[in-house]
Amino acid sequence: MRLRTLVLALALTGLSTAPAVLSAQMPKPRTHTETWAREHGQAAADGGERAMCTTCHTQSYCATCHDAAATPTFHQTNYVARHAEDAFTRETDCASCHQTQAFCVACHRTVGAARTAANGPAFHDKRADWMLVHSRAARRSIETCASCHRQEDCLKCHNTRTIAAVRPHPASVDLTHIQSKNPGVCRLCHPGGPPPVP
Amino acid sequence: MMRLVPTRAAPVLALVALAAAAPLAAQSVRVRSSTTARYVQLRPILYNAASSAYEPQSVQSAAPITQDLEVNAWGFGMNGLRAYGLLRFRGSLGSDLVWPRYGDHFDALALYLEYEHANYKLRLGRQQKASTLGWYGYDGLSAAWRPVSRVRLEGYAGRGLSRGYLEPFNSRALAALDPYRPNQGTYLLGTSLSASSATSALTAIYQREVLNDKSGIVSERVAVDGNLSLGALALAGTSEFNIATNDWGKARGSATLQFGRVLSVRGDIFRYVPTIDLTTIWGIFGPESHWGYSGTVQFTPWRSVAFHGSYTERKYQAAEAGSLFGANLPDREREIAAGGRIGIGDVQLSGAYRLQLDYGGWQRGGDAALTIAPAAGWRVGVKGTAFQRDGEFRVSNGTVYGTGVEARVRLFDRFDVRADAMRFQQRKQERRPAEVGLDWNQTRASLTVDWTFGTNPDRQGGTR
Repeated sequence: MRLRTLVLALALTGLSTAPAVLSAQMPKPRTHTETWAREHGQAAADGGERAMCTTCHTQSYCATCHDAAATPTFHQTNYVARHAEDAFTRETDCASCHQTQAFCVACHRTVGAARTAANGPAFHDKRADWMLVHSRAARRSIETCASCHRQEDCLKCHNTRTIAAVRPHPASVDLTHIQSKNPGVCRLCHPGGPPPVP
Repeated sequence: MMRLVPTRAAPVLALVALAAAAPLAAQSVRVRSSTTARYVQLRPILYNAASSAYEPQSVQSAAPITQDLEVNAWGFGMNGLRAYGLLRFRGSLGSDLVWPRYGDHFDALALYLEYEHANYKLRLGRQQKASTLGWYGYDGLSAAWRPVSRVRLEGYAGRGLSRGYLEPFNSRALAALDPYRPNQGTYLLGTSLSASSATSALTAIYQREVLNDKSGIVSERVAVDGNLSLGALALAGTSEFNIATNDWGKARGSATLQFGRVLSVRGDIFRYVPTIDLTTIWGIFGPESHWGYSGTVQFTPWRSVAFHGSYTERKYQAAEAGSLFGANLPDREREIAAGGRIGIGDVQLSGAYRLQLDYGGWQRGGDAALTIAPAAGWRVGVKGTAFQRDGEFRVSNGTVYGTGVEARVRLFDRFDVRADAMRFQQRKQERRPAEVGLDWNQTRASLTVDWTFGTNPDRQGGTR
C-alpha cells in the first residue's frame, strides 16, 4: 500500500510539474551549466554510459572538440577501488586509453591479482584445473586474459609443435580472410605456413 | 613537370616552413598547467614456495606526480596559423611501488601546427583521432574540408602510435611487454564524412593500420554513428564492422523520451566485441561478443532534487559449442543501480547504490556524499562508501568501508586547487593464507592545481 502511494505521488508530482510534456525541443540537462565544458570530463570518464552523454551526443560530437589528445583528466580517487566491475563488463572501453599490459599489470601484479609465475589455484576462480577448463572464459573475455598474459603463455599449448597442440580457432572465424589480411600472424603458430582451411 | 598551384600549396608550405623555423615568436600564447599529486597505498602479496601460499606483505605506498602543460600559440603573422602542444611530465615524490607509466617521464600527447581557413583545416605533427573507433594517435598530416557549413570531410595519415600508449608500434618499451609483437612500425590512415542538420547528425569513418613493410594489416574498420531528435524523442546509434576479420563489431542503439525537465525514460540495446589487433593470436581465437539491454529512468521533480534508477542485463551466449572441458559459466550478468541527490541551499546530499550479479561474481556497494558550495569555485564535503565483492571482483570475504573528504578552492581567478582523500578499511578480512585476496586497508589521496594564464585565459573549449 505504501509503495503504491509512493508511486502515485511521484507520478502526480511529475505530471503536475511537467507542462511541457512532449515539448518540441529536448531540454538541456541541468548539469550543463556555463562551466560544464570545463567540468564534464570526470563525469564522462567515471560514469561511462550511466553519465547519459549518449542520450544526445554521439562520439563524433565529442570528437569535434576532442580532436587532439585526451584532456588530462584522472578518475576519482574512489575509482581505483570500484573500477573492477566496469572493466570486467566492458562498461567502458579501458583499452581505448590504457595499454592494458603496460598500465594495468603494474598494480595488479603488485597486489597479486595478476600473473605471478607461481603455480597454484589462488586466482582463476580458485580452480586447480583452470588450464583445462579456461576455454569458454577465454573466448568470452579474451581482453581480460590478455591484460596479464603474453602471447607466449598461450602458445605453449596452442601451437603445432607440441603433443598437446590445441586448435584455438572456432568455426566462426574466417581464417582465409584473416590470412589474406595478415599472413604473419598465422606463422606465429604455423612456421611453415597455415594448413588449408577445411 | 608537376606544378603546384600556389594558393593550394601555400598552407602546407607554410606549415613546413614554420616547423623548420622554431625561433619564431608567437604574438599570443595561452598556457594551462595542471599538476596532480597522488598518494596511494597498496598491500602486496607474495607467493611463498615453501608453504605454497600467497602471503600478505606490509603496506607500501607510492606518490606519483603528473604535470600537464597545454600550450596554444598563435599570431605568427599568418591569420589562422597556430601551434598546439599538450605535454605530460611524470615523476614521483617517493615510492616503494611500481606505479603505472612512472618510469616514462615525458610524453608529448599532442604537438602540431595547424592552419585553419574558413572551410578547411590542416594539421601537421603529433595528433590523436577520436571517433567511434576509439582514440588513435599518429605523427602525420590531417586535412578537413567543409564544402558547406554542415558537411565535413576529413582525411588523415601518418606514422601510427600504439593504442593507449602513444609510442610507435615497434617501440622497445612495448616489445619488452610481448616478444611476439611485430618489429615493424605502422602507418595509420583514415577518412571520415560527417553531415548534420538542426535535429540530426551522421558520421561515417574508415580507418586502416598497416605494417610499414606492407606485410600485413593491423586493423581495418569502418563505423557509422548518428543521432536524431524528434521533439521529445531522441534516437542515437552506432555500429562498426571489422573489415580485417570480416566480422561485425560493437553496436549500440538508444531511444530517450523526455517529459519536460521532470522525467526521462531511456532504453538501450548494445553489442560488445573486443577490438584486437590482427598482429596478435587473440584475434584469431574467436573472441565472443555479448549483447545486452538497459532501461534508465531519471526523475527530477525540482531543480535541487533528482533521482535515477537503471537495470542492465548482458547476455553471453556462445555462437558455437566450446571445449568439452570448458568450465560452466553464467550466461548473463545483471546490474541494478539507483541514486539521487537533494540540494538545500548550498548544501547537497547525494548517494547511489549498485548491485551486480552473475557472470564474474557479484558486487554490491553504495556511495554517499555531503557537500557545501558556499561560493563559485568553492566546494567542501565529506563522502563515504561501502562495498562487498565475490568471484572475480572479490576483496576476500569482507566488507570494505571508506570515508573521506574533498575540497575545491578557487584561490585566485583561474587558479583552482582540488583535493580529496579516502581511507578504506576492510572488516572480516579473510586470514586463510591459501585464499588471500586483495587487501583494501589503505589510504588514497590526490591534490590537483589548475592554473590558466596568458592570452584570453578564460576562453574554454575549441582550443584543441
